Amino acid sequence: MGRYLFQRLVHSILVVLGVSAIVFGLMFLAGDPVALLLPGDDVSKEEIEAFRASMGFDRPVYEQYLRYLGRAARGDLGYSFRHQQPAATLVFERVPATLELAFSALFVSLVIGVSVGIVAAMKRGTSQDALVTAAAVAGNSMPVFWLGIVLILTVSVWLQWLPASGRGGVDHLILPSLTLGAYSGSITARLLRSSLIEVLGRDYIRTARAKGLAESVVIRRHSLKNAALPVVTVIGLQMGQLLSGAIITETVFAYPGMGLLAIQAIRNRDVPVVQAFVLVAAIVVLVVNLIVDLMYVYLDPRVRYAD
Amino acid sequence: MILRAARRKWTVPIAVAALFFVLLCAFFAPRVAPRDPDEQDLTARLLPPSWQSGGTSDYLLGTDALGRDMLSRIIFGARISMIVGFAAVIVQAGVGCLLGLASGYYGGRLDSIFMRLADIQLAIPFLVLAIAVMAVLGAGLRNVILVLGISGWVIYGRVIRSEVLAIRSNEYVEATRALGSSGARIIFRHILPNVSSSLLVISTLEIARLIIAEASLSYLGLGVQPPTATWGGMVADGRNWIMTSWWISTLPGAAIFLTVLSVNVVGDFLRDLLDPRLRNV
Repeated sequence: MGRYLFQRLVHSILVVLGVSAIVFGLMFLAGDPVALLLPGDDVSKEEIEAFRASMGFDRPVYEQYLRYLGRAARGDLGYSFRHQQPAATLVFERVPATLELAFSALFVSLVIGVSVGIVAAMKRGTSQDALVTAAAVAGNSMPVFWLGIVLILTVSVWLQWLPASGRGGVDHLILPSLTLGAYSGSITARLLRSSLIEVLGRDYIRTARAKGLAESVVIRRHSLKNAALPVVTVIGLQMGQLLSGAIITETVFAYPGMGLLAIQAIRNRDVPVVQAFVLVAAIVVLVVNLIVDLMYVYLDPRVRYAD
Repeated sequence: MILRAARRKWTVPIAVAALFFVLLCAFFAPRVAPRDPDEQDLTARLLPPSWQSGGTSDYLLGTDALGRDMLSRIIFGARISMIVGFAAVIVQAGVGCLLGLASGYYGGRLDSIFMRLADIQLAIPFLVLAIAVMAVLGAGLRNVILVLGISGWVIYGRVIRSEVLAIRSNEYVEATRALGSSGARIIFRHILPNVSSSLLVISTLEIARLIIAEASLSYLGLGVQPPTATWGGMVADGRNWIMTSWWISTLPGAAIFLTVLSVNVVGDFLRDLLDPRLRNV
């Protein structure tokens, strides 16, 4: 087990290095990075060259990348001229808000997905099952921003039950996490349904039923943990989607997370902040996937003894 | 076979008809649309749809904040969604197939490089990458297609690679190789036809995802720029008027939803029919 986790860790570090290369390369995508970073057109040629030299853009590319890595390792992800602050500080300040949103969305999606998935699997083939499956396809097809706006329109504008924007108490979090959680909830529901149906067909489930156990015990004690494996895997994969969705959700609800920061940074051509955002987002995804790997060890003893 | 199976599921013909309708609208937009989508009429701003009090039959779905006809803009918006959806899926499939086929057939170092690349790309959330690249490259139709196309190759690459690995050791491939066929010939003449049904299934489901992705970029202001009508951009325009004029945001959003839903229904159907193994991809 130790070796397995160690391998996963090394792999993640390699991936972070790869991501950092992409993030670094972003600056060169549009040609001259100096033109991208220096705001305004009223800059003289001397100033441009002085800036180029001071930022090290006159050095060979590989040297620039190594320097970038060195600085990134010390937490220096560039400087935002717009905010007059280090980009890392700006992004890290917003991380808690985004994680709060992402995890409450994950919670919503699990509550919806697990309950709906169980019901659909138990009532397989009935009209309830058909309804649930149809709802899952619909949830899958709904653009996040549109769901957000429809919720704002109905719950905030017409019913006036919940606030439409900003960050504050739990009431500010309900609509955004519903918006963000609906999509992954529909995926979880479909997946759990099919994996539960498969597990319920196994021999040991028949044995459990033959012992006279109540159906709820069969589901809770014998089936769920086994059916959870594919769902847990997908949660890891969905983290990326949740972060993508978080950018949009934050924009719709004016929720001050790192996604909103990134969108504002893009409008201001504040490239260092965008770069820092991509790097931090990728690290969050990788960390969550590592946690998922740990959960695997708990859920599936076969992983524990695989070495 | 496809027709007979489709008749058994009533949702599929409806979805196909809906898609056909959207495609027709997109193709014949200038003829179908009642007005010029960019024509402003400041005396007719924020008119509600015709069935609501205050609406007129001149503007069936009402007007936006600049007095532009919602119906015409939604019809023209279909063009961008369809163009981006289909063009980006071709780019994706092209890049993904090439890398997946090469990676699976030749194996070795090429394979490990491509698969590491896939791992790296999967770590960066799709929209995060797309947004970052759009921010540097600048908005516009060509860049949207390029970015969405290139950022989606991984799923093709992986599926095609694993299929190639399975097919490669088949006897007919061995036989062709023994007859002296080149690698490229084996890949394109003998392996590609065998992965075509997976390709079709993935592409259909990817079109749905791409339409949403394009709309998301447009919503964020990073897609095709105004005044060109895009569904995502229209939803964004309406966000500021949501307190008073519900139709500006919700109607174009409904167009996205129904279109994507139709594509997904068709895609799910094709998957169950052609390749149920892809269910968890």
